[in-house]
Amino acid sequence: MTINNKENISGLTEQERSDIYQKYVDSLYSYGVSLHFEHAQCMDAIHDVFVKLFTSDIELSSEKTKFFLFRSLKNRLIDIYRRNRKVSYYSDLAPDVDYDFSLNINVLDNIIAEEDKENVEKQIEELLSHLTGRQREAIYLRYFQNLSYEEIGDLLGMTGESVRKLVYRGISKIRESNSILYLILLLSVR
Amino acid sequence: MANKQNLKNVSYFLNSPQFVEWRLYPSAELEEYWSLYIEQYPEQKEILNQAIKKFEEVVHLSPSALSEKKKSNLYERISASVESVENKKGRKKIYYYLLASVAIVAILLLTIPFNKFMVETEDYQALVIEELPSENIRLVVGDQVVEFDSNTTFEVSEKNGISTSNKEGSNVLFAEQKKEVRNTIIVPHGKQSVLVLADGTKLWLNAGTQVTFPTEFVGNRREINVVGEIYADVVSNPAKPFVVHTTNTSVQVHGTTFNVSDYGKDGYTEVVLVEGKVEVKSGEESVFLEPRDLYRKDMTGTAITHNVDLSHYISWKESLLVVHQKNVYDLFKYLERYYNVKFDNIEVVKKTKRTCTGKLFLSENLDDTMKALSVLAKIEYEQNGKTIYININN
Repeated sequence: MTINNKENISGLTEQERSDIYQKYVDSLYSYGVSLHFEHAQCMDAIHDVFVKLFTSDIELSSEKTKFFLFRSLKNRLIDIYRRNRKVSYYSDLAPDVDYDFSLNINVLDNIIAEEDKENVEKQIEELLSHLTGRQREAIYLRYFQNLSYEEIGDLLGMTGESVRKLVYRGISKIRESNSILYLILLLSVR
Repeated sequence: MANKQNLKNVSYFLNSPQFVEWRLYPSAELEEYWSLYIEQYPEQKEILNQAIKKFEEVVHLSPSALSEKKKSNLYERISASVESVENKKGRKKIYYYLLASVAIVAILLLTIPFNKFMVETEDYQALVIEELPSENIRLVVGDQVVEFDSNTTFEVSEKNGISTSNKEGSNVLFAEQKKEVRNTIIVPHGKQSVLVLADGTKLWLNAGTQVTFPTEFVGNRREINVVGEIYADVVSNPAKPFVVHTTNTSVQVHGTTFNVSDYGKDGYTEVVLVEGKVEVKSGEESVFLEPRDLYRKDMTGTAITHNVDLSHYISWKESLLVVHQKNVYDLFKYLERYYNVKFDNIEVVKKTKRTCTGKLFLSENLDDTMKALSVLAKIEYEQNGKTIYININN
């Protein structure tokens, strides 16, 4: 079967598939690991979502592709979690139940002064520690993966508006000890 | 607003909580704060931009630990799966078409004798898979044998002999042969075939099945012999009844269509009727079946069950195994037959007496099937070469 220059079910060429894979595989892996899934489970789930994408005939714009992959991955991981309660970091996945979403902070140390590195790490840890797992996940998806509130809502099983509030609550929580920012916040209310 | 400051360095910003928070969560408020900051201290702008760049360079959240090698291995795996799914999609269409035309089904199954030894259970049990020699589908006509290495459709016609088609292409064989010649098709494990007889009757041959049939039906009966499992859509001809002979029984069609199978060894015989009417004869005994009747004959005698769920018996045609509270051990035995593998040690599965319900897609790839089975049967497995470790969850 020649697939090198031929379009297949997904309408993607081999080159396009490869590009999509290279573009998203790291983020997807990070996301899976952040949700506390083991390496092999993440790999299997990533395998499944790409196979699903490459064998489906739905047409996705490039910005929707990312969301499709994230949502499919989370669904796959939830399936894996449900059949394997050993990975029991969450007791349930209902929207109102919290679970751990851990973000490993990694500040590369060869291009930053040791003191700065420590401070930056400490500050990020401090900021993140005030958040719930769900808030961390929402913030990660919003600001590091650039997904929209609506898309994150879909991933977290809530509305876009609720995600907005969730992120907002997360941010205002860590702001309580920061009077300057809090003041500005009050001044700039829309 | 921020305190009066002289020219700051990058380090200053990196150590500022407002800065770190802004880079982490650039909310509207923080965006405003920092744009006001730049308005007030335009001379800091360049330094601030440097700090932003630095922050992006050095701070990684949840960095990927995937090596290039792992990434490219995974991609190869994905490509292989994509290709196999695409092949399957093409095949499925044919199945849907075929399904629509089917009226009657009768199936004969074989029990596999159990080896009666027990093994100590531990958390993980190893199943060693032994691959038995793989075979081709064979068409035997007289003393000639033609082999096919992929699933093939055979079509018998009085004029043109036997034409074949599979993914490699089409062919016409034995165009000039005697009408009375008996031909045999042998379908090995892991493969399936379709056979269209001279009268238009269509047979689906399951893995491990052998069917003997004439090029043309002469005489007053249409007769074929089956060892294994078939699903048949028989063209009606009351003047010339269609009879399937198996080792232990014969099934005669009264009316439209039927399906029969018999593995011929020390097992049981099952006939399931989907629609129409068939007569099952075994020695002196003769029974008529109604639709959804299951005829079963084994060492203990003959029994008829009414109103069975047909999908459990005919789903193999779609490479789909539908099971309802089926013993997991029996499923493993089924897979052995289907894939022509031997699971060493599966008595550990038998011991649990666990049953499962659902649909199992019989992929061409055993690992894919194991994956699905692990969900269905709530077992965990890990494959290492030819050994599969299974863990029965409680």
